[in-house]
Amino acid sequence: MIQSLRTLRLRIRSIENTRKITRAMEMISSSKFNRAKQALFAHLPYYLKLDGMVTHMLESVDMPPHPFLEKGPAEKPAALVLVTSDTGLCSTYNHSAIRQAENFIAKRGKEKTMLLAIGREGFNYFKRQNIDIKDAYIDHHGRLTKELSEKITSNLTGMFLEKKVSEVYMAYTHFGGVLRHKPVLEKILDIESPGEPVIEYLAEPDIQAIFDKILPKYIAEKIRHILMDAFTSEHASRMVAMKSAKDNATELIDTLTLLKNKARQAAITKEILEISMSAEALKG
Amino acid sequence: MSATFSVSIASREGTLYEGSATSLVAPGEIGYLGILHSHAPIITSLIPGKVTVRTDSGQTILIKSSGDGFMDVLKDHVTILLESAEVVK
Repeated sequence: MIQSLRTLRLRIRSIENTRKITRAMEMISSSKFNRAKQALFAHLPYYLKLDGMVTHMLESVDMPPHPFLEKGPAEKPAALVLVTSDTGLCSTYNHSAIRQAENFIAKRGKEKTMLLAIGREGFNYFKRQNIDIKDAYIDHHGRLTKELSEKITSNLTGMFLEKKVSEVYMAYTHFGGVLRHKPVLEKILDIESPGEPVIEYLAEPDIQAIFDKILPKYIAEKIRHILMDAFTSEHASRMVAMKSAKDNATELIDTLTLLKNKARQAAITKEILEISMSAEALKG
Repeated sequence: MSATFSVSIASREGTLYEGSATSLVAPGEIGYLGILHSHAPIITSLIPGKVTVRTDSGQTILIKSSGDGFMDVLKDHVTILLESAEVVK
């Protein structure tokens, strides 16, 4: 009985340590999440308006040509950028993004896909599957820097303009709320025209110059926005995962404490019983 | 009261103005240009400078832009995107 009392105490202590760690991780993720969410929502109106503006321009009657609007060579592979996290402990976040990429590869075929990975989890997964990874951007830990988004943008547009790839896609997780994470596959390049040209625009200085300026910017902001979206989702997933881990630990501690108290009470009862019995025996 | 149109101005850091206006002046690449109600559809690129919005209540909002930008006028809705900018008053 004494033995089991000690093991219970040890187990409770170890779970308390785990709870401390998960709680700290939850707090860290929650502060990272708040920062990421703030940046995401500050960027959202700008991005949506830019998106709307580009859509309007694509509907313009005298739309000039631009390399971003042309389809890439069909015989070349399509580039797929998979956004995952660098570390685990974030519930199904990585799993669902990876599955999205797997579906893409299954549909297009291994030879027709050029995979790029952002985040160690996705990189490791596809490396184990013996799938070639053209480029990997790892160890950013859900922190979006200007350098990172610029590097990815110039790499992707460079590949597309040099006609090494036919299309560019990104597979990431869209943040739709703390508990809602939706894996998304989005086409980055080429930019598809939404339909028949209907608007007669005046342009100043001229539409070609504006096009040359706005389209690279649009692609850059789109990639930036997708990364922000994915990283916000990552922090939210981890925050929720760590919160449930913490709650589980608390529950376990409660159950074990109850057991411990029962065991202690049983030990005391037994001891009293022994004393009173021996006292009884001495009397006789 | 003169006719109004809707305006939305955003920078990469957030929304700067969202509402209606009676007139607007923005720094186009080849000179400042003014927008009034029923303007023809126009798309321009903007250079650093001042964006002035006169709201329907007669207030003037001055926004200082220190980077590139774009303006899109379509069906009495003006959208201005500025790289980096702040509201002065």
